[in-house]
Amino acid sequence: MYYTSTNRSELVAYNESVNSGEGYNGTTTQWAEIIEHPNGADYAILKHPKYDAELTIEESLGNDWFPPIEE
Amino acid sequence: MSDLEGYGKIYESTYWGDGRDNTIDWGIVYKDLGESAADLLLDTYSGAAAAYSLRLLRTAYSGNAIRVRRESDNEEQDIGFRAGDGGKILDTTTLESFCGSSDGFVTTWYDQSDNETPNNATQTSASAQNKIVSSGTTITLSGRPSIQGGNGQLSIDSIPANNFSIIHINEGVGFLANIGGYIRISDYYRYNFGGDNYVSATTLAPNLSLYNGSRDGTSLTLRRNGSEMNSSPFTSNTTALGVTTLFGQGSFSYSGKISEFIIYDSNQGSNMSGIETNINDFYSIY
Repeated sequence: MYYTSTNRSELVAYNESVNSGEGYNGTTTQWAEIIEHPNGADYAILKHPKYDAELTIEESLGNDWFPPIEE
Repeated sequence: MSDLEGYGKIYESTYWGDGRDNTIDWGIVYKDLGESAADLLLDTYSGAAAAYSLRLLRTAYSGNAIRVRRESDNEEQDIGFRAGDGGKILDTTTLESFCGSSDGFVTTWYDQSDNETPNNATQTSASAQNKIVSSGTTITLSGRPSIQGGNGQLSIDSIPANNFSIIHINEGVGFLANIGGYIRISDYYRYNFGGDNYVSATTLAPNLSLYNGSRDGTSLTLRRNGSEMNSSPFTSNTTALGVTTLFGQGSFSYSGKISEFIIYDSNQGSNMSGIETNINDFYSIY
């Protein structure tokens, strides 16, 4: 599942809350990369199973989030 | 044994008895662990631009195989090699002891090449790290440790090359690596450098395979399991190889398993048969 928002900073804050709670150290520096929609206006981040937030949640991201690779 | 018999081999020795009175209950048994130093791939076929494996590839390499994060508390540990059947293999004893009943994820796949600056493959985001231990048990492919893709990619510094040989042992379909374009395994095995600049060969084999793509001059040859699949003139030879990720391309992750991925920035044409034999002897692929 993913959290989505048009406000990237909300997802940055979620990521940091997971990082803080999980205490990553060593090579691992964060929970996840924030995904930017090709429209440049929407953002998403993978939800950590243990951490909830008051953000819009999506079961999965549609294909429109991931432009196909040119074959 | 004679003085020279077994020179260079890896042995495990066993003692019994206390040896204090030279009685018959004292001795040494040598158990040949199966692979001599000369059998390590990069000892014979040196010059790799980058080499990632879960077995030791070079006698002089003293580093680790991988760095692993365990899911239970996010601690990380380097995992090296131990003597085992067929030579030095991933130290799964230490790996499984470290992970306990937890899952273990690869943060770093160390480069075993002899380059002055290793080009280690890394993933710093926990959610994108691929699994090597599942609930305390090492994931395997053909009985050997393997990395299960599907979560994300490992990044490396770009490896540019006009001529090259890339050898990989994997199972499953999908976009395998970013080479500027991509390497894809599906109903075909394809090297794409962008747009119409690609060479492919038909394959309906998502099962364990040893693949090789080599470019020399203006042609690109694709091989699978020791046999040539296709060799085509490659009209856009000016398009340089540029490997930057393993386990996927762009937003697509490779969901299969990869056990070894070796990149030469020169064509290994005459060496290829020996390279394939070395790999197949260890992995029993075909």
